[in-house]
Amino acid sequence: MDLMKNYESRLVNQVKNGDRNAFREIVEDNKKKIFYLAYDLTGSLQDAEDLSQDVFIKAFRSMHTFKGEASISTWLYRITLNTFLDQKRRKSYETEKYQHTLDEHLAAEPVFNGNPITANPETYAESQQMQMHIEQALEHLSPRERSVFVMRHLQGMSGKTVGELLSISEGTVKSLMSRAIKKLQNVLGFYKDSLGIEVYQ
Amino acid sequence: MKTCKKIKDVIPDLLNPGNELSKTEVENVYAHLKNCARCSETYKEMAALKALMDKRPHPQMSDEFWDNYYSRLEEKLDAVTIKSPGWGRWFRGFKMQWVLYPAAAAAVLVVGIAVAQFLSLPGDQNLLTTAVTSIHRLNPAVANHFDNVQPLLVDYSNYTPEENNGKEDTEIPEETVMVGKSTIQKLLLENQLLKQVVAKEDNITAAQLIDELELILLELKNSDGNSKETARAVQQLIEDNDILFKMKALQRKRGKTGNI
Repeated sequence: MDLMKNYESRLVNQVKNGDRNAFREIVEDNKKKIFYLAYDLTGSLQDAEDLSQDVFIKAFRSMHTFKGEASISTWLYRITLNTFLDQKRRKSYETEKYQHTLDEHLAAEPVFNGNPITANPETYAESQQMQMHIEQALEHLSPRERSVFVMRHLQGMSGKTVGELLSISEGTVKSLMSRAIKKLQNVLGFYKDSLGIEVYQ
Repeated sequence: MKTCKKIKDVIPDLLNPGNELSKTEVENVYAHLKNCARCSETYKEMAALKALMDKRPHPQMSDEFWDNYYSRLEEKLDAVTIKSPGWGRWFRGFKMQWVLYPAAAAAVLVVGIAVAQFLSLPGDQNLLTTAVTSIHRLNPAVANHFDNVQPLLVDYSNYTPEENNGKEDTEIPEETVMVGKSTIQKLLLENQLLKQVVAKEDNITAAQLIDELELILLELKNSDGNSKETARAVQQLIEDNDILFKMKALQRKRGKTGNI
């Protein structure tokens, strides 16, 4: 753990001194995490690209405020959430809903259950439809609800951590989470039976 | 009832394999679920939602996409100059040839006029004319260059460092001046080019100002443009040399004589 901290604080100091290579190292270490978090938040590959890059630019420019109390990735998560919420507030991210043309160019061969989709076109069509429904359902959430839901449910973070990241109380995290779940269940309820969920162990 | 609410809040953790719940907590939740039909139903619904969400896999991006991620980012990083209203937006469309072509044209004209004056006038009169023209005219390329540098200088001049109260703020304070290295590089090149132009024009005030600007731009180029120390040093240079005042005074002379 200490080793990791030393490594990170060395990188941060180098970036503070204008070292672009050190910054590149930070980007390479975190690009996938931040890109996919941005994807979960925005639901579009193009927006994920824009948001994640905005995050790294912000990080580069505000590196002098980083004091090493949290890890770099936690700090980047926080910037991602704040930038996402901020941009939603300013409505600069006018996501074109379900616009897959650009996304298809960006994505490599899509995968379904770990197999390339072309291996099974029918299942692919079904999964595409389901995914579209999921994206539509996620669009029903407010940016704050979506942020909490993504961090709690998709990233598997504890309520406490999510509260710290978003600078809100654990109670607020809980109520946002429960609102998000309720909305999603309303929209996606018809899938419930087809999934064949076994009740706990 | 109170327990039911607590359980509901814990279910998302329970559904995540890497949760931070203790063994006892997990056992307690399961014990409650077995005896409470309502919570058991909530669990089922949440588990269904989680399973559904897991069917929304992250799209796999090509190796090329990841390999080029940083270079795409770096392009954007270079395009971002200063976080202050107007400046960043203004500079985004900036192209070097806007300066190079007028500067080259101006240089040719200046040399041509100087030669013409030298040929047509006796020595004393020649000197006088040059002095008068230099007072009244500012080469448009130089004027443009000053326009380019001025917002940057104004930002540094207005810079007031503020402590963050020990907080790790993700937002850069508005007062912090930020300049991209590539911007500095462009301005420095522009400055060096025009230095030769004004030298030929005998515009001593402009030449001095360009010399002082060079010092500032070199300071920014050779140090971390984002640090408070650099900002303070640059601010000091601007104040000590009255740069903004001189620049405004010279800019007032622009366009009065029309051409050059």
